[in-house]
Amino acid sequence: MNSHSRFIYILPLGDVGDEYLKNIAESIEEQFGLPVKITPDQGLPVYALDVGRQQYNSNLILRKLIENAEPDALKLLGVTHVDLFNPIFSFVFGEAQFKGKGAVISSYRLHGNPENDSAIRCPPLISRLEKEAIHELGHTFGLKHCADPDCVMQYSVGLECADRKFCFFCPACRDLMLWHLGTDLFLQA
Amino acid sequence: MKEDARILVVDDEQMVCLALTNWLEEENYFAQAASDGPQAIAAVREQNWDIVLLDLRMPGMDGMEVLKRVKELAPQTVVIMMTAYASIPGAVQAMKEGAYDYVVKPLDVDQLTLMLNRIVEHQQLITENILLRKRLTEQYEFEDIIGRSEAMQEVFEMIKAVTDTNATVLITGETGTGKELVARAIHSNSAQRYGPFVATSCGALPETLLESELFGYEKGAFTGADRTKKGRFELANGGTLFLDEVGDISMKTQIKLLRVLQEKSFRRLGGTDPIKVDVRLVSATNKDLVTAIEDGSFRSDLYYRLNVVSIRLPALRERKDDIPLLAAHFINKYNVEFNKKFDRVERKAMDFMMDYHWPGNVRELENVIERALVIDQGPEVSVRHLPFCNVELVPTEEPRTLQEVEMLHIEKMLQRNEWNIARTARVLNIDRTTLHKKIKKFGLERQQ
Repeated sequence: MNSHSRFIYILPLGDVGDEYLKNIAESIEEQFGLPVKITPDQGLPVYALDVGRQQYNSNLILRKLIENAEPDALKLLGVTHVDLFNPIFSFVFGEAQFKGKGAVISSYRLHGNPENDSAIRCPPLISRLEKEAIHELGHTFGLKHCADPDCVMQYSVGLECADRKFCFFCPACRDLMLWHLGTDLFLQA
Repeated sequence: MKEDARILVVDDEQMVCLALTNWLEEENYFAQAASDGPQAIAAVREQNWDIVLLDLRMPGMDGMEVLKRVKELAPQTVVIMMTAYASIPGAVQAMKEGAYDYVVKPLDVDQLTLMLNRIVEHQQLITENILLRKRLTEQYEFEDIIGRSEAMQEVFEMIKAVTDTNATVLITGETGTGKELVARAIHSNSAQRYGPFVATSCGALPETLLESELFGYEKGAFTGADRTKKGRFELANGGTLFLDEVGDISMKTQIKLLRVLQEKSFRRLGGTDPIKVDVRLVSATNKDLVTAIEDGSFRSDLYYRLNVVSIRLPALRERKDDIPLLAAHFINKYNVEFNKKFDRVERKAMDFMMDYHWPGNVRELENVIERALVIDQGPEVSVRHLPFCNVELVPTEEPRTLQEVEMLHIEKMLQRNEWNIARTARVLNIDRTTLHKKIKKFGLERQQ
């Protein structure tokens, strides 16, 4: 096995907050059993700003992350506080390359809408960020959305649904993730 | 159940197709993209789709035109229009034309997720409802095949048994017994049901044409092959290929067919690369293939490959008890189609129908009922609607050939003159020798 390609990198894109990054890193290590490296702040992804929409294109961010990946990076997770979109959806909480290397998540929409969203009073932002991080990284390991409402891979419609699920995989997704992880590490070797 | 839902994305922007199909696959749907109207229509014609996500504005054939064609080809498929804000009135118009709903680009992921979930759940309910209704009627009906006779009950059991397997099936039966319906029933109840059902009549095509039809050809394979064409085997990939009149194919094509069955791959005419296919083969014939093997016109090895499971469809005269049920079914069917109000078959007409030998089988019965409903207002199918009554009654009442006229007239004159040859010859104005020759020729005999 190649020890140069088994880290999961967390790349802050803008001022995300060290406490959040630390918590996300711990959660990832716990769920994937892989060491995590947190890089210094990479700065706001201005190259991905769509002036008309005043949002950041998550596809472009992913592309940039992957282009600049460190050689020992098995997976990359960009974390930002700006509003993300991809060209087909009005906004996304995060996006991942399915069975790929990179994922990006944003805290922007995880705050909820202070005016009409009761979810805002619910669990702290960090809990939502951790779930989103594990969920998107799960996609990079080839996991699809899961029907188990407790599983972190369940697709949540709205924040209230997201708050209901756990921050870990159901047994089926866990087995599948470990299988894909083994394959990924084998291919890197 | 979600994996079972099949979604076709139709958009001229490649990026939208790619991003949306990826997202749908992550959502556990089966997704495929088409980049224009003709491609979308071809996909709808070849395969079953639960949902079509259709862009309203596309160059060439626009979304409205595609919507109309999809609704014609597959009315049960749910179409969701995708539109920009500027085209919302167009999307509303599309809903009047049969679209289920519309979504505005860029899409709201939650809205789309809820909409798709709702459709899938609704379709599952419809399917369950249909299944429950079917369970009530399945005793006498399987798909579009009707029959309560013991012979047909056995056919239904056989169809149910083979749908769970991938075995090749040979359907035998006279013309008009419904061999293609059985093939379709096998397909629509099998694991391949979401794949295409491709039917080919082998008897209708000359040998060379049949080969290019089955296996396709490469550009330049022969004069006139100005483009590469996929054959029926390729078109049926992932589904069922139905070869009708398989007993009519030439020895050369039989060898090629055998090779496909053994190797699960073939080459297009003029092609070098083998093409792998996953196709369930169902074939049918009205010929006696065992006799064909004996006289050397059909390969026995191919026969055993095709005939892993065989289903014999009884002729209609072997299941006359089903005639009233079938007649009622066709009356209902064509009442709806022609907006008529037929509700019964005249007793005498039913007696004729029960006595008739139906050489054209169920197809002939269907044609008789269809014809009656076309030409009349109802409410009763009567003897005058039965063409076979006219055909069979005519010779006894009215001779058709000169020879028949001559024979009947001589016989009548002989009876009138009590078989007195001299008197009859005088009446007929012929000599006695000629009359004797005619009596012998027509085999006339005095009835005691």
